[in-house]
Amino acid sequence: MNETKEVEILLVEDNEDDLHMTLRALRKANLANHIQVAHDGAEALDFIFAQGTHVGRRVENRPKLILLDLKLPKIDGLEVLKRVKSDPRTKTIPVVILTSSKEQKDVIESYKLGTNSYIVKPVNFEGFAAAVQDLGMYWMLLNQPPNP
Amino acid sequence: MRLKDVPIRRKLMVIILLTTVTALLLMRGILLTYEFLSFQQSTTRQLATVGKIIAANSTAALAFANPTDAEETLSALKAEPYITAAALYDNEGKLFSKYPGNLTAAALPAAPQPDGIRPDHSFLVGFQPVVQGDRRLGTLYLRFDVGTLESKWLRLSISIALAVIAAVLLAAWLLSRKLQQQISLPILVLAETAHAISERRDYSVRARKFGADEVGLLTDAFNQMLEQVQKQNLNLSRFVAIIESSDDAIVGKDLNGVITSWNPGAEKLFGYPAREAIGKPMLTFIPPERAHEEAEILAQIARGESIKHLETVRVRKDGKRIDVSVTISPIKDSQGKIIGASKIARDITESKQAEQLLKATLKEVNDLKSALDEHAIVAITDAQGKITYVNDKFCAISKYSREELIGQDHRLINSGHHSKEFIRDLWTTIAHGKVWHGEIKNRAKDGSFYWVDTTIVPFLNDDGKPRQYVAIRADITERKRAQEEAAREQARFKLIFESTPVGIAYAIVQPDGQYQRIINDAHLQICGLTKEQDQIPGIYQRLVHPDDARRQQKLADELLGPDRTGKISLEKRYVRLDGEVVWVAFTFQRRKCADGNYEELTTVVDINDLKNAEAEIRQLNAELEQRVARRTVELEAANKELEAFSYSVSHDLRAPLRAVNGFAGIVLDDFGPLLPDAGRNYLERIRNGGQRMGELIDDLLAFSRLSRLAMNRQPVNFRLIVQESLDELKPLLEDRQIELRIGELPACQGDPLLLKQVWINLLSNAIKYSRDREPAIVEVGCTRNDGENVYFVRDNGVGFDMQYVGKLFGVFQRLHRADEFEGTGVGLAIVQRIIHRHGGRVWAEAQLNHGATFYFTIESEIKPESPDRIANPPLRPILKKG
Repeated sequence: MNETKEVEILLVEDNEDDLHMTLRALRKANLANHIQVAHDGAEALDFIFAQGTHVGRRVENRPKLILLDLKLPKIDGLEVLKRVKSDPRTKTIPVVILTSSKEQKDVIESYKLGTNSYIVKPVNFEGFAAAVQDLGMYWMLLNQPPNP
Repeated sequence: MRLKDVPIRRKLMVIILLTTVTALLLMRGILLTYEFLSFQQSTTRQLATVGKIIAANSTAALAFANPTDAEETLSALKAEPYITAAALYDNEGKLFSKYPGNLTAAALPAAPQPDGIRPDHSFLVGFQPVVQGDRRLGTLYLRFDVGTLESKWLRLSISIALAVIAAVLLAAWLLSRKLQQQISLPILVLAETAHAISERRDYSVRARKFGADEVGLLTDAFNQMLEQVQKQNLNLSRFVAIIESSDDAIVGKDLNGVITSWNPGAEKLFGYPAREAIGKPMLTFIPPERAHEEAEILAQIARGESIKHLETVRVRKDGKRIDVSVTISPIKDSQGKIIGASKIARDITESKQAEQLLKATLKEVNDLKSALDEHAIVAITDAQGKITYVNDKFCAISKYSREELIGQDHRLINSGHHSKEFIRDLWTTIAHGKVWHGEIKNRAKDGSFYWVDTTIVPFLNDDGKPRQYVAIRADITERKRAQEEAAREQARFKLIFESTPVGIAYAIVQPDGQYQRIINDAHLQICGLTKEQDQIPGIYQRLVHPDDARRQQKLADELLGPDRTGKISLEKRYVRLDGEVVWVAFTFQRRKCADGNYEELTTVVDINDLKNAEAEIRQLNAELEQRVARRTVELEAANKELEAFSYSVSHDLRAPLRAVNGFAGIVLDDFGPLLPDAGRNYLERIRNGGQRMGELIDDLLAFSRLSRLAMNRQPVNFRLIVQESLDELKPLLEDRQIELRIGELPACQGDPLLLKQVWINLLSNAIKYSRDREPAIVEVGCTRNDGENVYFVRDNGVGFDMQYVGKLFGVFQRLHRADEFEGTGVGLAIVQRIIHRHGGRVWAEAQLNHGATFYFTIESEIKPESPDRIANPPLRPILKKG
């Protein structure tokens, strides 16, 4: 992974299947350039806050969108969300929860912590692809984030 | 003193003397007159004689005009002293000589008057012619002082007469003195007798009779009269005594209304003594406004009418008015002429007052009677016990009419409650004229009973035998009832008091410390005391365990207010006299009563066994709590696991499913053209299988979530909810011919979201399973059964065989194959779960190919949620400590 390149989407996903399908959907929508993948919460935080393996990266060099699974090894998605949204440097980054959980408590907790969107991964293939493409289009192209 | 008033004796004397004197005087008078006439004749003769002599003697003197001779002749007259003057007139009438010589000519007539002797004043004068032969020489004048002579003569005559009269009178007096006694004595005696009688009023005296003459007759008559008088006087004295002693005023008055007599009764009545009253007009005693009465009375009297018992008002001397009853009768004299009136006046002030008093008393009695009638039940019976009078209250309480009661005796209302002895005692008492008092139970006409407090008063006739009985009663039914109630209450209280295991002591304590106390056996038993020991002063304080005594004292100090009033309760130990210790729950309360006394209530409950049990229970409780805690932890863990499991299912189970679906899709997408048809078909099946599994998982999660969601009960409008549900189910209705029949849907209480799920599931089932029907009929509504609303959804769809009805509401249980009707078999399970959570029931009726009907009820009352969730209310310890 080229760290000097500007990362546009941080995709945090531990499930290789889902990762594969997500990336495929984004690719099909021509949104797959500049995607940084993290496989667990710790890795995601390292990247976001330029620590661990990502020391040297500039925190200010923020991704345009974080797609965050909730159930993650090491540090779970809610914790990541919380850290991102509680740090002034990163709190304006749009975070979209992309998860299999339909549990209300997850939805509520996520919104409480400041998520910008909560998407349940559809089980069927077309639905899933369409959802990923739609949200990528929306957040990357339509949404106007504040200037850093 | 007039003659008629002088005593008869003197009168008689005077009469005799007067008669004598008169006779004497008359005789003397006649004699004197005769003598006087004789005297006068002799005097005249004497004068004539003297005259003739002197005249004859004087002839010469005259004839020779010799005055001296004349004087000489005249002077011879000295012998006749009563010849006081004489004169000789010549023929020419001139005074020739006079006698006495010193007599002035003026005293002599100036000229001679005709001859003759005639009286001149008190004198007798004579003119005598002096004649010589036939020749008249002159006239001789002689004046004879006959008056002096006469008076001398008269004096003598009278003196003699007087002397004679005096002698006669003396003789007459002496004589009459003697003789008159014959007449006057009997009269005097009679008179004296009469006087004595009138003085002494002793009519028994009789006059002495002196002879059978007129006086004797008079005496007889007088004595007879006396006898009459004596008799009458006796009568009169009776009347007088009556009049004198009468309390009534007896007054006599004349026709002018002037008082003529006045008895002591009148003095007393009017306050005037007789001496003041007599002579006063009757009007004095009549009040001004009644003054007219007297005129009317007098008029009536004058007509001879009597006035009887006129009630009027008179005035006493002191001005006080008195009511009097007056009877006035005319008094007639013996000729029957009305001369006045007798008036009897009686003071009826008192009787008036008495009458008023009587009236007032009567009124009072009447008032009392009406008051009595108002208050009491009154009946009067005759001596035989027959009712003669009843008042309204009697009728009201007995419910008999007056007509039904009068003439009956009291057996009519006999309740049969009282013994024969009781009734006999009653009759014996009143028949003996004594008052009977008691309480009687009677029976009214309608058969109801009533109690009366009864007083029977016998009214006695003059023989002392009861004439009638007056029974006065008061309705005491309520009081009796209350008494009975009170007695029952008392008995109940006693039963409770004596049978309760709670030791109770209740005392009324007077401010001075004196008290009355009741204590039940339980109290004695708990404290291990006999009745005698209970009386030992301070025994209870001695029994209290010293530690507890201090505690109790402290508690009392803290809790009891002024006067030690208030309540304390504690558990404490008594150390019985035999040394055994007993735990009691002790309460003491003291309060001030309205009458100033204090009420103290002590209760003791033997809690020895409880105390022992309590320790045991405490231990058991502790163990139980421990067990519960443990179980709770376990359950909480299980619950957590269940939640974790659900989460895993929702998250982890779906991920591989998505991979299966996804990659099958990707293969079809990316490599579909490369695959043979069969390969594509298989991939499609993989994908469908995955999809179905996803649905199953979703439904299963939804179902399990139901149990965990909190209910939000509120009023639910089913009409609205059914409408919303149908709106949501619109996609199912597309291209369908469905007749929807929506009936009455009463509102209910429940969770709107959950209940909406019920309707959605039932309606979607109905729509789904009726899709072969043209038209499909889906009917919703509500019927009422046994007071509860039964909602239903009916379709005319494929129905089901009732033998499988038991499986209908099981999770993942299906009565149709998936290729006939899609579905996971969770919908009805969800329906059942939701309905159960609402305390309702759900059931179905169906016939294969003839439609199905699903019914459910919702419990309208809010009930605590059925513990689907594992929950344990904390156990309460059986006994609270302290």
